[in-house]
Amino acid sequence: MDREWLIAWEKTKKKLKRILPRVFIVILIVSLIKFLVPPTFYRKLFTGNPLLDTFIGTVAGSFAMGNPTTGYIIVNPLIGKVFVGAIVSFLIAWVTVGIAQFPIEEETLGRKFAIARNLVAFVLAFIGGIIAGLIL
Amino acid sequence: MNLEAKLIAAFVYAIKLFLFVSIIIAISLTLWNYYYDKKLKGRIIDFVKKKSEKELFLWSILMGALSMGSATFWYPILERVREDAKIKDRYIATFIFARAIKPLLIPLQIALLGWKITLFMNIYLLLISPLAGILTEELEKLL
Repeated sequence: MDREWLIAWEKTKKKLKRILPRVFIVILIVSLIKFLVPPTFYRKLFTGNPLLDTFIGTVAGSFAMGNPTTGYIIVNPLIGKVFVGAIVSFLIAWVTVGIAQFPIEEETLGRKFAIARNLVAFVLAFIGGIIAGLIL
Repeated sequence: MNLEAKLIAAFVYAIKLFLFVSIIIAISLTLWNYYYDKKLKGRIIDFVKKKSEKELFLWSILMGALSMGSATFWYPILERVREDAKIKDRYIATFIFARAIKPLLIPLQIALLGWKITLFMNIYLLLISPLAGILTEELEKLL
């Protein structure tokens, strides 16, 4: 085998040792949510108060994880029944905030970066929901 | 399904998914490490040096929007690129934020969310990505 391939594999092994335990934790959390939290659960979260619902949407989206398509499917039956800002903040937080993936982000890009990026994404998802609620 | 059965199903699912993800990460990371060291590293370093701040933001957004696959795969790649090319965190954060823009999913978004939410969300994400990058870097300094 080409020596460069061996070097590449050695680098991969080092990285895998660091990130795989965290990947397992993330996958376990995602699996538990998938099996224990039914999609109908999200409908029960919202209260009818636009500001509170936008915040709840942001928090729920931050903890949710998975393919963005799943997020679209979850919110589809909520459109027209729940404040639009809550739906938008949920969707933006779903794809930009990564609470479940935080351990991997922290391990690779650093704790300060991971905290700062997720906090900023959370706030911007909330603001996005508010703006959407005002103009849509 | 009772709670015990759900927990067992979740654990079995997690193990299967972990094995699959581990294999995919191992293969893709090895391929990346090989081609990155052999061909891409120098090019990326040169590219970053030559580009202005505006251009780097635009490239971060473009690459983020076009990137596919799990973030789990992208974080180790970004870690290496950041170290070697001395890319500022604002561009890394912009790239991660712009990954939320999914051009290929726009037709599905329109079908499931309606054109108003789709249009708003994509324009907002596009405009806000560089701001997210700058704010991340500034907040990082305060932590």
